[in-house]
Amino acid sequence: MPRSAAASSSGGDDKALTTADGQSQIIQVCVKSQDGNKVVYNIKRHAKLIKLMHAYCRKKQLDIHTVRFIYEGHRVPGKYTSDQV
Amino acid sequence: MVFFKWVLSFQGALAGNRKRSGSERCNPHFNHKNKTPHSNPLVFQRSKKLRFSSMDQSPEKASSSLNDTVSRLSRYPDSRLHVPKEVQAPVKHLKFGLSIPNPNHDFLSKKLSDAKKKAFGSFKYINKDKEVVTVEKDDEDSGSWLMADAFDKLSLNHSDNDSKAYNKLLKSAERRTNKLKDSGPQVKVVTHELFVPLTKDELAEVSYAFSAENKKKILVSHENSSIDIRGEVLQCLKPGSWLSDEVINLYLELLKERENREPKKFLKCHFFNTFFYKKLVSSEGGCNYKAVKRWTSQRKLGYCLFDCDKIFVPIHKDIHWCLAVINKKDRKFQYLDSLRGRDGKLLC
Repeated sequence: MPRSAAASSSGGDDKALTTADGQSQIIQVCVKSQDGNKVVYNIKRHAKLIKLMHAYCRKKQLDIHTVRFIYEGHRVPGKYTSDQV
Repeated sequence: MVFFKWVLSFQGALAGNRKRSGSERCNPHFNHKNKTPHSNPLVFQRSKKLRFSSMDQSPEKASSSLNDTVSRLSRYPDSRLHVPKEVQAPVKHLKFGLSIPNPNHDFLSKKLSDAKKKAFGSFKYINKDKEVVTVEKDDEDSGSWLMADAFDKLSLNHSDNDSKAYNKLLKSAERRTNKLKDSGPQVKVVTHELFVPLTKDELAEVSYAFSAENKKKILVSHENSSIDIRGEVLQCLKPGSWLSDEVINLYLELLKERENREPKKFLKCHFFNTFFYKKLVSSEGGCNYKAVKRWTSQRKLGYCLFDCDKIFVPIHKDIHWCLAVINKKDRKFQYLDSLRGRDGKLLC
């Protein structure tokens, strides 16, 4: 498999929808991959997103370097929390 | 270009210098050793060329040299005549396979050929010896000295000429550089834009970036786009390897940054990243505008997409990268493919 294709097609696109639970500290984050599969995570608002990325990669058995998380057309920095994004 | 020419001519002048200095280096050699001429083949050749003028200078000595030749002739040829020569005698070709051997005929022809050999051989030796002797004479004469001096002078003249020409060139070059400096900022801009060869340090940096040790190491971390470039990713820029999207995305980011830095110099452009097109056509049966609706909101971009002169959309086609450009300035849709491929669907 060509490198470039692997780099872009195996990338799991990030959460299309983030539904806020009112004032609670927990937020629901949906990770949608390019083939349309969805995985929903409940994470704390101030938790860094890198944690979620690692969890997703572990579940899907992917290398974190071959996956890009995108939110509204931009790369999601792992060091940010969902609130910051 | 002009600079380049100067540099070339300058190097040419240098090369001329080098050659000349080489010949000068030869000359002292020439002077010192001419008392024992045969020890040095170089001297021998040189003096051979210069024979005629020295002959004109000393006709008396030429006659004495003739006497010398006679005395030497008596010494040389006979001693060498016994050495058989290979291709001297005419070779008899047998036209028809069988020929009756005739001992008398053979004997006679042998004698004849021997005689011929002797005659030719002696001729040759005479000629050769004459040459040698005259050369010797020349070398003993002051003629060779004169010639050497003349050579020196010649070379010196050459050097003078060269240095003059060089000085002229230098002056004209200086004049031109001054003109260039006077001609204003335009020229400076051009020189900045040209591809400049990498310096030693930069080359070292490149080899460092491509080295196998740094495969896992993060070489560059771009804050705004949160793209980290590791050595492994950079390897894709080597010839023959597959281009990675990270590199493309980061480069597009850098282009955008450059535009923001100097908005007057560059057109107003928008660069989509490599995920945009994939996302747009991901759903079956045409475009999925909803998926990318929020990608280009004015709040997020800071400018309206319709204000841009050019919009770049990188496109990945399974194993090949191309680029679509919405050229608002020229009212064109452009599709750039290095393999000259066409995609009718894309631009519809």
